[in-house]
Amino acid sequence: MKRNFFPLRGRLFFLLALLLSSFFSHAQTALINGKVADSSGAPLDHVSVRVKGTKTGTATGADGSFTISTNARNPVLVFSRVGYTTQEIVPAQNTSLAITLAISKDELTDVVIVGYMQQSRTRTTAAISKLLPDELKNTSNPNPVQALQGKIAGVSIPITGGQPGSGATNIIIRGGTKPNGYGSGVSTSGGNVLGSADDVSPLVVIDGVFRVASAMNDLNPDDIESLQVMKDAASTAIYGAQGANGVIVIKTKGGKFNSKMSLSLNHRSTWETQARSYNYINAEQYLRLARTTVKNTFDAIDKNNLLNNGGFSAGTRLYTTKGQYGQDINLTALYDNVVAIEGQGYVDNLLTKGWKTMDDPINPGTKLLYADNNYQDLLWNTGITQNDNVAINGGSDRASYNVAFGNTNQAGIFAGTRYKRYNALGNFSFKASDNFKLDVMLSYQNIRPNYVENFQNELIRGIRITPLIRIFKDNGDPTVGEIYTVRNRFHALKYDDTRVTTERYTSRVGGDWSILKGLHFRPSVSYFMEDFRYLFMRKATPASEIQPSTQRQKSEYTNNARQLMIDQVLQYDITVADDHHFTVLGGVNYTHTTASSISIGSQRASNDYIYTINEPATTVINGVTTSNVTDFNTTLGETKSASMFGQFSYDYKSRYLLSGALRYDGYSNFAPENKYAWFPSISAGWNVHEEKFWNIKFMNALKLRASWGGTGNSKLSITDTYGGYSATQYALGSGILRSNLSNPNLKWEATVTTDLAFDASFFNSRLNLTVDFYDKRTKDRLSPKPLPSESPFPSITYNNGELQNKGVEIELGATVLKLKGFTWKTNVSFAFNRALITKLPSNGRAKNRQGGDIVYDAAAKSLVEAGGFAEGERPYGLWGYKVDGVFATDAEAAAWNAKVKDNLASPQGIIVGKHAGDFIFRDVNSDGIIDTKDQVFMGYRNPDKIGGMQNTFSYKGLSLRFTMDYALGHTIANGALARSLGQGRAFNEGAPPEALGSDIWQKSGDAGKKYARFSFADFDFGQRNYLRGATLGNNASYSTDVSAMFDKGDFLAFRELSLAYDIPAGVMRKIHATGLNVFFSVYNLGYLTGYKGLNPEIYSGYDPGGYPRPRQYSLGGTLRF
Amino acid sequence: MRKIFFLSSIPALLVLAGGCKKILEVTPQSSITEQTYFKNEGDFDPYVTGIYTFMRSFANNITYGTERSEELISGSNSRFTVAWSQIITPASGAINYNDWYKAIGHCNLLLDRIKPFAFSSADTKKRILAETYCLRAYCFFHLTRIIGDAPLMLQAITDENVPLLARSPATEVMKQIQLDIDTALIVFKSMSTFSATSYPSKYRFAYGSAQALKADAKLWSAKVLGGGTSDFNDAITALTEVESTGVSLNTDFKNVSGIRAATNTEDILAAYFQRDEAGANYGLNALPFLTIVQGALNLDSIPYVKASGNGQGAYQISAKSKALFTTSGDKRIPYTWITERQSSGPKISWITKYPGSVYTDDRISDNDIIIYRLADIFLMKAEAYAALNNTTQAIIYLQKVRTRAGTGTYSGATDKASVEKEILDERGREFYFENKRWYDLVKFHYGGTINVYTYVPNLVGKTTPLFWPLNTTVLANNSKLKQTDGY
Repeated sequence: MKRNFFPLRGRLFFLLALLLSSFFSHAQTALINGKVADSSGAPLDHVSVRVKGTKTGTATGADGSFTISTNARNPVLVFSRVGYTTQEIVPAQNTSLAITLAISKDELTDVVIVGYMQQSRTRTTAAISKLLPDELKNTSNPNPVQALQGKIAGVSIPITGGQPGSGATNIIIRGGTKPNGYGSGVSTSGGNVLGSADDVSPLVVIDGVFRVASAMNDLNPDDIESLQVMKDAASTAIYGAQGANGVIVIKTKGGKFNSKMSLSLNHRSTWETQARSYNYINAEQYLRLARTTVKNTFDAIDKNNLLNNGGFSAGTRLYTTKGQYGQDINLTALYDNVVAIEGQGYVDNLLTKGWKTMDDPINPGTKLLYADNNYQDLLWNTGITQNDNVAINGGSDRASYNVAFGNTNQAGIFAGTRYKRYNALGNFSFKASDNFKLDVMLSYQNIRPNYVENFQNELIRGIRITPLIRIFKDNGDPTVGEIYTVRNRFHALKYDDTRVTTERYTSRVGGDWSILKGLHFRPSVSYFMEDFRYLFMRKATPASEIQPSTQRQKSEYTNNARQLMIDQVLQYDITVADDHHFTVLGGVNYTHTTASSISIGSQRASNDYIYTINEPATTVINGVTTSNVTDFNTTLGETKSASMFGQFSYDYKSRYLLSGALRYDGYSNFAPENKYAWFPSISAGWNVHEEKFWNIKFMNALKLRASWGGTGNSKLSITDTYGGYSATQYALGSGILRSNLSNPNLKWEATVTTDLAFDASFFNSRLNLTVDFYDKRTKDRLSPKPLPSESPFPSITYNNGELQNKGVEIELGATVLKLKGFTWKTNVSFAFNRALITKLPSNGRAKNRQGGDIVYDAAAKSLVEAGGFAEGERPYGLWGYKVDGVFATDAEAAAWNAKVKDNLASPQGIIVGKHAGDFIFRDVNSDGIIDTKDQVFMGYRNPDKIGGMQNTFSYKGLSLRFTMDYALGHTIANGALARSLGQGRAFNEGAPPEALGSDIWQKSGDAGKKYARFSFADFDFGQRNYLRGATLGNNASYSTDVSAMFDKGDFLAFRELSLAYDIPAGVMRKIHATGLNVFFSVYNLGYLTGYKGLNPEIYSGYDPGGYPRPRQYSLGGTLRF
Repeated sequence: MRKIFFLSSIPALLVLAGGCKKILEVTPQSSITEQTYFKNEGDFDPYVTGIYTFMRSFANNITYGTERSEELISGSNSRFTVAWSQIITPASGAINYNDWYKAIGHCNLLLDRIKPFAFSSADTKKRILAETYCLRAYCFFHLTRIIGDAPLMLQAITDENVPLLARSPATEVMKQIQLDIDTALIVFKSMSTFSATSYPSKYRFAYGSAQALKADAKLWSAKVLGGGTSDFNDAITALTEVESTGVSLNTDFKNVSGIRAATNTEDILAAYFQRDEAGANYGLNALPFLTIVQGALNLDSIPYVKASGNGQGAYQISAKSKALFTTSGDKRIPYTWITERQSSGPKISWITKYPGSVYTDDRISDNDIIIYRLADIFLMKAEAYAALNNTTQAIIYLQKVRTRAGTGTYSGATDKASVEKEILDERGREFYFENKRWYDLVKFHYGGTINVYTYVPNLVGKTTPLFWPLNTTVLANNSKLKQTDGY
C-alpha cells in the first residue's frame, strides 16, 4: 500500500495552485471591488466575475469578495455561479459593490452530489437520477420507498405486499450484482414475504452517514429534501466496496441562514381498502361444490370420514352431547341431529343469527344446517392512517436550524395490522468563525409495528379457510381455525401479544474549515444506534382446543447495533485562467460496526399477566425434568472497514469535463491477504452545445458522457472466509459441528461498469432527454459454488464467475403544454436490463453449468441440460409441465392411461390413473412417461423492462398529478388460485369463483376447458393437476409449475392520482398564515394486466397470495406560518 | 473543532502509519471458525455428539428403510414418496446422497484433526475415535444398502478441492465398513476401563452396539454381496458378543417402544428423540388426529393426537403385514396396530408401534427410534444359523422371540427354506414399523428366501432395481460417477 499517495498529490496541487495564482494576478488600471452574497446574505465564493466583452475575469473568495481591474470603458460586470441566476451590473465608480445573487430555480434541483463533491448537473459526467421533490410530497405511505416506484429509470422497486409500513425486498439498480435480487420461493420474516433473495440493495447514504438500504424504510418522507440515485461507476466508485449495487444519497431538510422562522403544520388522513380482493364462493355454493366433489371423485380420499365424520368443514358428524356443536370448528351439521342434541330453541336462535338450512346435495332428503362465517368480511377492513408533521426552520447570519417532528399511525387492511412511528429531526448549522462552519444532525426514530406474525400460517394459509369453518364459538371466543398452521386471525389477535419496537438515533457532526482560498478540510463523525426489541407472549388457550406446539410461550429478542463512522476530506478547488476549473479531494474513512443480540424464550408460563419471562428453568413432565427454555442465545458481531480515497474533477469552460475517483478499501471479513482492494473510475463529458460551431436551433443542449470504473461488494460473513462451527444437540448433550467450509482465498467481488450516455435538451429545455447505455460486469461473484455431492457441504462460498447486466435507460422530461397559466409537465422513464451469466469456474460441464436438470429439447430432439446457472444464459428461467388440455371424458382419459404413465402424480394418484377432468400433460419426449424430462420452458421470473410516467397538470394554485409505472417480461405462477383449486391435504381451503366458472371442467363431456377439475388433496391423493413442482420451476412445496397456471406478469399500474390546491395568499394573510395547501389523492388505483391473480407485481415467479397492496385514499393539508 | 479534528485524525494516522492490516483485525466473538476450533482436546467430544444428529436423521428416514416394503398403505391421508409406489427413475425419486457424505465428512474431519492430539486421558480419545469409526461405518452401511456401490470418501475436506471419486464396488465399501468397525472394536477394547457390558449411553455407540452393527453388516455382506459362510460365521461371533453385554428382553412387549432406550434393558442402540430437542419422529405420519377418528367406538384405545400437526394419519398397516400375525394371541398385536371401529364397521388399522408420549397439550410422536435391540440380535443369529443350514440353532433363537410374543413353540417345517421364510416373517412381526423391513426384504431376496418382485405388492409387474438411482445433481457434479445398474 502506498501510504502517502494522496497527501503527496494534495501538496503538489497546492504548490501548482500557488504558482498559477501568482502568475495570473498582475494589476492594471481601474480597480473595482465588492462582495457577492446569496439572498440570505451569506457570502458566495467561486462566483465568476467577468468584464463583458473582454477576457478579463476573476472569482470571489471565501468571504465573497473580489477585486477586478479593467481598462474598459463603461465596463459591464457579469456575475455567474452554478445554481444562481447570472447578473449583469454596470458598476458606479469608486464604490464597493454589494451584489446579491438569486438562486436559480431550475438550477437548484440540478446540483448533484457526486461522492464527496457537489456538482452542477451540466458539469457532471455521472449517471445520476434525482427524484423530483414533488414526488415525496403528501405521500400516502409512511415508507418513502413506495414513492420511488417507477420514477427513476433503471431502478426497480419490487413491492409485493401491502403490510403497513412495508417497502421493497430489495431496491434493484440496473439488475443488481447478484442474479436473484427479486428472490425466489416464499418464506416470511418480520411480517413480510421474503423469498430466498440475494441482497443486492444499494448503499444508502443519509446525510453523509452510510446505512443499510432498509434504513430508508422508516425515514419520514416529509423530512427528505433531496434523494438521488447513482448508477454508474463514475458516481459509485468513490463508495468503493459498497458501491456495486448503486448508491442512494438522501439529504434531510435543513434551515437557511438569514431567514425568518417558518412553522409548517401538515396533516393527512389515509383510508386504505382492498384493491384486488380475495374472492371466494359463499357457504352455500361451497357446501354444494365440496360435498359433490368428494362424493364423485376417483381420488382415494377417505370419503366417509370427510362427509359423515366431520373430516372437513363441509362434512357432518353426529353430535352426541350438548355444547359440542357450538365448539366444533365445522359449521356444517345435520339439522335433525343438532335439534335432537341442542333443542329446537337453540337451532331457531341460530337461524335468527344467520344460520341457514339446505337439502344435502348428495343425499336428498337430509337437511343440512350451516352458516357462512363471512370471514373475508371480518378480515379485511378499511384501515385509517393519521399522519402529522410539524417543522420549524429559520436562521440568523450565524446559525440556521430545522427541527421537525412526525407522527404516523397507519392501520392496514388486514385485521390487526398497524405501523406506528414517531420521529424527530434536527439539522443545525453554525458559522463558528469566518472560515469554519459546523453542521450538526440529530435524528430519532421510534417504530412500533404490528405485522402479521406468521405470514404463512395466518395470511397465506389462514385467509383461505372455508366459509364453513367456525370463527367464533358460541361463547364468543375465537376458534383456532383449522389448525395453528392455518390459523384464524382472530385467534392470533386474542391470544398472541407481540410488541415490537425499533429505536434509532443518528448523530453527526461535520465541520468545514476553509484553510485557504479554495482549500477545505471537512472532517465528520457520526454515530448511529439501533435498538430493536421483540417481545412475544402467547397466552393460555382454552384446554378444549387444539394446543399450540409450544404452550404459554414467551420470547424476547433484542438486537443493539452501533455504527461509528469517521470521515476526513480535504478538498481543493481552483480555477485557473478563468476557464480551467479543478476540484481535487482526498480523504479517509473508517467505519466500525458492532451488533449484539440476545434471544431468550420460555414456555409453560404460570400466568398470562406479564409478557416478560419469569418462569422456572425446568418443569417435571411425565416424570422427566424438562427444560422450559426454548431459546437461549446471545451473539456479538463486529466489522471494520478502512478506506482512503481521492476524487478529482476538471472542466474547461464547462465544455470538456473529466472526472476520476480512486478508493482503496479494506474490510475485516476477508482473509488478511485479501482485505484491501482498489476501486478506480474515470469519466469524461463533452458539452457539445458549448462549442462555437453549435448551431442547432431546436436542440439547445447536448452533452455526451462516458464513464468506466469498478466498485465492490463486501457482503460476506466472517465464516465464509474462515469457516464456521455451530451448536447442535443430541441426547441432551451439546454438540458442535462444522457448518460451512472456509474459503480464505475469497477475494472482493468487483463490478466494472461502462456507461455511455447523452443528455439532450430541446426547444429551450422544454424537452429533456437522457439516454444511458451500460454494461456492468460483476466479476468474482461472491456466491455459493456447488461441490460434488461427496463433499461434506453441497457448496462453498466462492468467487463464482461473472454476471453481466447490460441495458439502456431512457429518461424524458417535457413540458407538454404551457397555455395561459396552465401547464402539463411529464416525465417518462424506460429501462431495459439484460442479465446474463457470462463466466463460471470450469467444472467440466457444457457451459460450466451449475445446478440444473436434464430436459428433453423437442426442437433438437435430444436430452439437454437446462436451468441453474450456465455461461451465456439469462438466470432464473422457469420451467413447468405443459398442459395440452383437460380430459373431457373418462374414455379419453383411459385411452391416455393405456399409453402414458404420469410418474409425477401422487403415489395414490398413480394407482388411480387419469379420469375426466384431469389435465393432459404433454409427454414431450414421447417415452410414455411424464417425468422431469418433460419440463418445458415457461418464461423468466424477473421483468427486463421497467419504467413509469409522471404527469403534473397545474393551473394557478391547482395541480393535478397522475403517475403510472410498469414492468414487462416476467412470468408468474398463480399459486393462490392453484392451491384453492387443487388443495394439498388441508381439506379446508375456500374455493374461488373459478371452481364454478365456465373455464373449469365440471362434468363428463366438458370439452376444451382451461382448468382441471376442482379437487381436494390434489397433492396427497390426486393427480397433482395443480400442485406439481418442476425441478427447474419454482419447485417449492405446493408450487404450481403447470403451464395452465402460468401467466405473463406484464402490467401497467395506475399508481397515483392527486389533486392539490394552494389557497391564495390573500386569503391566508387574514389568519396570519403564509400558505395553505390542501390535497386529495388516490394511491394504487389499479392495473392494466393480463395476469388474473392477485398481484402482478410478483417478480419471484410464484404468487402465493398474501397481503395485497391496498388502494389508499388520502386527504390532507399543509399550513405554513 | 480542534478536538474533532484531532479525533477524526486518529484513523487517518492509523492507516497512514502502516497499521492497515491491524486496523481491520476483528476477533470473532460469536462465530467459531476454523482458526479457533479443534485447538483443544475438549473440542472433540462435542463434535462426535454432533455427528449423532445424522445417525438420528438416517434412523428416522423411512423412505429408504420402509416405504418400498409391504408394510404401509395410506391411512386417512397419504404421505408417501414415489418409493412407496416403486416408481423410481433418475427423473423421479432419485437420491442426492449429500446428507450421507456430510455425516461422513464430519467423521473424516474429526479423525483427521484428532491425530496430533495427545489427550490428558487416553481413554477419552479412544472412546471418541471408536465412536467416530462406528459412525462412519454406520453411514456407509446405511448408504450402501440404498445405492450399492458408493464413492469411498475417506479424506477430510477443508476447501473447494474435492477429489472426484468413482463409485467403489459395494464389496469394497463393505470392506471399509468392516475395517472401521474392527478398528473401533480394537480401540474400545484397548481402553483401560473397557467392559463389554458397559453402555455409557444407549444413544451412542458402545462395544455392544459396534458388534451389533458388525453383525448386521456381515449378514448383508453374506447375502447381498455373496460373502457366504465366513460372513455368516463372523456375524454369529459378533452376535454372541452382543448377547453377553448384559442386555435382556423386556418381558412385556409393550415396553419395547414404550420405555425409553436409556432405561430399556432390551435396547442396544437407539436414536434419541424428545419433543423439545428433535421434535417428532416418523411416527408423526402414522398417528391419526382426532378429526379423522372421532366417533370411533374404540377411540380411547387409538393413539390419536388432537392437532393434525402432531399426527398426520397418513399410514396404516397393510393387510399383508397384518397377515403375518398368524397367531391370534400374539402379544405384539396391540402394540403394532389397532383397528378403528366405527359404528359403520372396522375402518383404518392405525399403527401403535411408536405411540408417542402424551403431554398435557397433546400426544407427541417422540419415542426413541430403536436401531438395535436384543430381539433383533436373536433373529439375526437365527438368520445366520439358518443360512448355514443349522436350523436347530436357528429355531432356538427364533423361539426366544416367539416365547416373549406368546406365539407358542415353533412347530413348522425345519428345512432351511421354511425356517428362513419363518425368520423373515418373524422379523416382519417383531420389527414392524421399526424401519428395517425393506433391507430385510432385499437381504432375503438375495438369500433366495423370497422374490421381492412378487412379494411386495407395488413391485409386482415392475422391474425397478432394488438400489436407488443417483439424481442429476449428483451426477452432474462428478463426471466419474456411473448411474446405478438398471436405470
